[in-house]
Amino acid sequence: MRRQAGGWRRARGVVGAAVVAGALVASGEQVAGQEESRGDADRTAWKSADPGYTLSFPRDHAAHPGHRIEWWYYTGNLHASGGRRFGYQLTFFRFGVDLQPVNPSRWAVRDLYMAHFAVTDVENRGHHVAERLNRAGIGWAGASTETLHVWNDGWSVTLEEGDSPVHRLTATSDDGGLALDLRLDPVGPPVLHGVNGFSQKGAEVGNASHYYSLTRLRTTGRLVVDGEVADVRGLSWMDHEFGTSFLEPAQAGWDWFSIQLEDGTDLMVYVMRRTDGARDPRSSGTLVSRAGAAHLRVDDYRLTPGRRWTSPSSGAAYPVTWRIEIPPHGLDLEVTAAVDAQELETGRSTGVTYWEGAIDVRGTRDGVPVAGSGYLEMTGYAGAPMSTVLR
Amino acid sequence: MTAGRPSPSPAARVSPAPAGLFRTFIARNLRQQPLRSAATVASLAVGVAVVVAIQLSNASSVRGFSTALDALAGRTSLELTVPGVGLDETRLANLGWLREYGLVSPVIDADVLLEIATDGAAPALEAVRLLGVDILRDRPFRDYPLVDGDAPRLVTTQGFLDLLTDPRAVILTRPFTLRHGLAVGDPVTLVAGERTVSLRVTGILGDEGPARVLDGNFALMDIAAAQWAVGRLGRVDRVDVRLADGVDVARAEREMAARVPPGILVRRPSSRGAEVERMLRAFQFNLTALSLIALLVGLFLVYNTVSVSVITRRSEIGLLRTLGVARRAVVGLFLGEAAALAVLGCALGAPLGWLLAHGAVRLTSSTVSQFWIASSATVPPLEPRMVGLAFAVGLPLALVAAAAPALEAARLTPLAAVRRDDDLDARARLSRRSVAGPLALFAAGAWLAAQGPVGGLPVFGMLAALAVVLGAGMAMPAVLFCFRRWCGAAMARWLRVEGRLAHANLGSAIPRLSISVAALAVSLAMMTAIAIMVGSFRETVVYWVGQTLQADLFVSTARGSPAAERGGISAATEAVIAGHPAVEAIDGFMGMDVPYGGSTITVGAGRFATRLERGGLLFKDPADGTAAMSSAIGRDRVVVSEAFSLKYDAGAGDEVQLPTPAGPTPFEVAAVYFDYSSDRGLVVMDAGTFERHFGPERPSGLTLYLASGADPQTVRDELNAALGPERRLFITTNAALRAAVLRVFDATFAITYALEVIAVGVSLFGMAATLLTLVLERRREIAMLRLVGADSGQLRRLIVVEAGVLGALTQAVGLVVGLALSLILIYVINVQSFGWTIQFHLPVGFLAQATVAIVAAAALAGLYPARLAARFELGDAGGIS
Amino acid sequence: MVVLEARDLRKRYRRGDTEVTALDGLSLTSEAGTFTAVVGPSGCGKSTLLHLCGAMDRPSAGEVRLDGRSLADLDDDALTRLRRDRIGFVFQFFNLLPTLTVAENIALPLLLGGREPSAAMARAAAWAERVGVSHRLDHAPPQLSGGEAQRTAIARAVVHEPALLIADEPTGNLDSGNGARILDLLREVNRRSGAALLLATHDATVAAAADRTVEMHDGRIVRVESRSGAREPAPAPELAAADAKGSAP
Repeated sequence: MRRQAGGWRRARGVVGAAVVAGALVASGEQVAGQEESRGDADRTAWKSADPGYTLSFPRDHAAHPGHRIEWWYYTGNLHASGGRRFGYQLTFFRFGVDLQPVNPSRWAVRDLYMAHFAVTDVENRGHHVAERLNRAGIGWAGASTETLHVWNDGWSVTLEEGDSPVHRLTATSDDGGLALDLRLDPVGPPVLHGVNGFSQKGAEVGNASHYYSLTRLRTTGRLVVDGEVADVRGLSWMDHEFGTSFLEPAQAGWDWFSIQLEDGTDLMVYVMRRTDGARDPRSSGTLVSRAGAAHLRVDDYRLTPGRRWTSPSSGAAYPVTWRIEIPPHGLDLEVTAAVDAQELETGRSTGVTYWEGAIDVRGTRDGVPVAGSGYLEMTGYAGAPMSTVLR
Repeated sequence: MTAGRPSPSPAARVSPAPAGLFRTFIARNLRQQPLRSAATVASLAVGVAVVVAIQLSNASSVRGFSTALDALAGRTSLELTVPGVGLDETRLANLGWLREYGLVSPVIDADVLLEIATDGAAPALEAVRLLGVDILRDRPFRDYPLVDGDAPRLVTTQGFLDLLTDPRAVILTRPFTLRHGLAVGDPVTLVAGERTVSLRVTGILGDEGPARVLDGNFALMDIAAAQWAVGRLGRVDRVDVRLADGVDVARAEREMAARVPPGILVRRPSSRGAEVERMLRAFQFNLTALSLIALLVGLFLVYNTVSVSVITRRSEIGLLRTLGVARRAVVGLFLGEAAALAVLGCALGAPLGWLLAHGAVRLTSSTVSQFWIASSATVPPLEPRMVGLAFAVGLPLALVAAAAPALEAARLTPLAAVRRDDDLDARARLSRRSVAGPLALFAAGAWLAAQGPVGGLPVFGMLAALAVVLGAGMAMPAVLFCFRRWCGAAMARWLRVEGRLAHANLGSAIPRLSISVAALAVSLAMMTAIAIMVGSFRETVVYWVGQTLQADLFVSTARGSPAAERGGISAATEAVIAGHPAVEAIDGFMGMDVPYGGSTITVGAGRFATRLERGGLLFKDPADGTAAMSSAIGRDRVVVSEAFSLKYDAGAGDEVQLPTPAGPTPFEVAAVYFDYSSDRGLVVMDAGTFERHFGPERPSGLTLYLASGADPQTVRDELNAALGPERRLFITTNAALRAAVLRVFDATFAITYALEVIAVGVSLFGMAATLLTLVLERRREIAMLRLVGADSGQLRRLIVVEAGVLGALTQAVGLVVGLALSLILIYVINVQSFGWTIQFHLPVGFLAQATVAIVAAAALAGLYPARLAARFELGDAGGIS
Repeated sequence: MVVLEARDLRKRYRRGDTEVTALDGLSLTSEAGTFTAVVGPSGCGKSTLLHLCGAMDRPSAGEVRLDGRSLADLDDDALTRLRRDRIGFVFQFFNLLPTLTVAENIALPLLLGGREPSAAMARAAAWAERVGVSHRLDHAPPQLSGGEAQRTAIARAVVHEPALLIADEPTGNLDSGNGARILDLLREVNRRSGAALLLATHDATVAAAADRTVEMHDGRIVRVESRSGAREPAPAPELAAADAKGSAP
């Protein structure tokens, strides 16, 4: 659920033009509705998430063009050999616009492809962003239906299959000052969220998605930040989610965490804040330990905001320290943003402003000190509630 | 004033200080001769105005294009294309490395028509430039400011969303929508070739960026929708590249040119502007030269005015010299007079030129649009640069024109003041100079006419024309002398006492008259020459049309552009046409613009077999063009137009390198044929050859040959019915097409005639001014005539006869010199500028009419001076009292 | 036979800001074949008198009659025709048209009068013969000597056999020899043609040759003197009347 919401947020987040895609999805819905009313369901009906569907790998790493919305999401905390620390995020989105365009042109828009690339330079307190928005056209963007291969105008993620398959991530900003070339080696199998990867998002049937994560990928490679090249290594997190409709109204925003602890425990947890201030009952999480993955229900955990950082530009006050308590699993964690200023403003054009960035985690598990790092994303603190932005 | 008595003239009272002298001696005199001063200023103003107007109009046609070019190019640094056919879009996949240089955006760029439904009336049809882009990639290249009413809207709006999702979405500009009362949501119909596509306005662009193209005749669509609408699936017209900051354009251009596969051209957008300028250069050069004629006439009048001023004030000048005014100061005085006239003339000429430019632009833009580029018919604002041009052209030339009489004034000795010379040198002799000078100039003209072009421009040809014109001007004294010598008896016989007196007066006023007569003669000669040239050209075209337009019906698509549009008539349409029982054979033609030798040529394809079977090509070289043409079928051989052959020096048997998608490819010239449809140069190959090199293309026009006995009109109606209203095809009968060709032809030369009429008008005006001067100077004699019994009717007739005879005389000279000039125009200037062989033809009827009109106009020009003369007081017969 | 009859002529005109009275109640008659010399200082009104009598100008008041016909009710063109048919002019500065030949100059009144050109030219040639410029027929006036020019002018003045011959200082621009010859010519023409000659002059010798001398001062006749050799002295009463008026306080 948070992934879906987060996906929306990120879709919006792709600076400026992103809103195009968001609204496109909306208009796509419109078109679909109209077409259906004309009884032309086959051509335009996007596939809903199916609770009976069984995810299988590597097949389901590839694209699912029958579904309207899909993304591949990578974040991670990396260290340069010299000790410098970086956070990165590279996300590829596919938004279906027109299942079967009538226009035979190769440039006819079936899907829009977006990609979002951000790097946090902890030492220099820097936060760098680049983005891509393209149609498939003559193959300048796309997602393979055969294997994990998604690309967007020079940026790509590719699964190099073999005995130990690795994910290759490449992205370079237009001016070349920001780049990434990483090799991600998964530790452990995909973690299926919800029920066997079927994640019910809303009250309505069909408002759901297929959702899994690779919560721990050993990462090596090279970063270019401000034109400086750094050899890096560290841990990454990968999400892949696809579905057709799962937007739920009355959501003011959310606070979402992905955490990798040094003891090998991985945690995904979020709270959806409703417009009336209440915690959405469908907020949830997954705790992955050596014993396996445990689903966290909304009552299993408590997220408490601490110190707030006020953005000088947007004026929004984001909690940059948090306390996460998960009593059933004896976890009590203090979360601190690696850098306060990891806000992204997409300007007046969209009105969407949010915070996403690397975090440090410190605390105890059953009284034993633990530490780790991860990514935090917070939306709905500035401007209109997400639900109205998203319509 | 008389000698011996102290003169009351201003000259006697002034101090020799130059400024004061000028004020009293020149300025006051100019004021006291308001008519002559005004006439000179006015004619100079008109001359300057014509030059300015033509420059403005030339600027506007290129400006329209380059503004469009700039607006369309936006921040594009380099563009990639395959000339003529555009890029096969699958080739783009191999051009991924372009991203190393910067941003990349593929573009569909087409000239189309938009049809807007109107209440009841026929739908409005406008040519617009259609740009199809991937808006997701294109925003860094071009600005698309969507507006909502007057307020700019944010770009991330429904308008752009619809563009991506709705293949019928089009965004139009604010000026365009205002003009047609369109709002968001309204339907418009796009016409491209024979296709029509229903579109919906989904957004309105503010007047910025590409929206400024052609005064808002711009439409923005998604690249996919545009491809589909104009029938270019699988192709893009070009790929625009915006280089990353700091990348050197020249270096990138070099590197990219080396890396792209053969056939793909890498160039800067501005290079297209340079090609167009080169293409238009000959046309504009000729217009400029023509406009200088009017100025020349104005300068003749400056010369005339200053001359008269010097001649009539000899004794005053002598007095000035007696009073110690230096020769140099005298020169300064008369140059000052010219300068004063010129400053006024230029100051009036610049704004007048701007006004005239509106007419000129209207006349030229249709021609430019017809033959070369879509141009906007707006006159650029009158910039200081143009005012500067007016002065830069008018002032120095006026001073040069005044130099000779000013120097003559300086040569006068103080004795001139005390000698009572008769104002009129009644015994003008034929000086050796007035015979040798013209002869030398005519010889120079003949030599110059034999020289080749300079950079594709007939510079020597123009100089030859100038030499002939100047020679004609210089020959006027001799002509007048001959007139005086041999025509007296005839005039006395035919025109009685008025004729006798007119002959005597004209003969005696040779030095004074020859200048204004020369000015008029020069204008008339130019008019004659142009009439002969255009008449010959027209006859040639009529003959050519008669020979080559053999088909019975012509099918064409609506074209929004002067440039040959690709494709157009679908195979299905052709099948419908071929299915008509009366249609025996179909020829198809398509042409495309291709850069060649720094300019643009048209590469076309036709069905040679049909053409050969049906006939109708006029070959220049070799004589048996048909055999050569049939040898071209199935081979890499082409036939080229005469203009191409002359411009690029390619004759039968030569090889030309044409840019094809596979790179430059050699073609052998099989034959050269006559073509008067365009001066840009045509290279035509058989449709099969074309397809082998450029890929399959549909023709943009078909010519139909009907079974004998079939009525073209009936077949046309039946075809129209069979094709239905959705296909926008124009079927024209042979007769209608011929008429249309000649209509275009006549429209093309409208500006030529307009310029000439102005020049003739100015000259007539100048002649009237001269006549007036003569009348005023002859005040005493006229009074004398009245005294001895000439009544007012006789005096009026006398002056009118003088004017009419002058007109006849100048027209006679004009006809002779014009004939010579027309030969230069036809055989030198035209061939060198446009590459057309024109058969000489004398438009006798027109010339006869013109002669009658000129003599009548000249006689009319004498009416005012005649009325004035009849009102002179008898007391003016000086010496009575 | 009375050719010219001027009655109580007055002529005023403006020169600058002042009104000048050129003729102030002057009367004069002249008979066919008589020679009247008008003398007086510069500005006395001689030329004005000649202009009015020669139908070149209109009086402010009074009347001019030629051949018994009043000029007052004639329009400009009628006056022109009258001059062309009935009056001849000779001026100090000859006033020939420089663009015409001597013959054409002489024939001009006939040509303007619509006479057949060859007849006109023949007549002009005959007159040229009589005045002694026949060797100059095809020459242009600027090529003539002063005497020749004035002879030509005289020929032109009489070629159409006018009733009245007006001469304004005809010898003023000539040396004495030429002047004498011109005067003789004028007298001869005057006698033979029977035209009344009205001649203005400064020159006493010229005046002495006249049948009658009219002396003017300030626009009036102050004295009339008839020569003994005169055929018909001018009738005194009118002159006396003029004198009486002129001398009125």
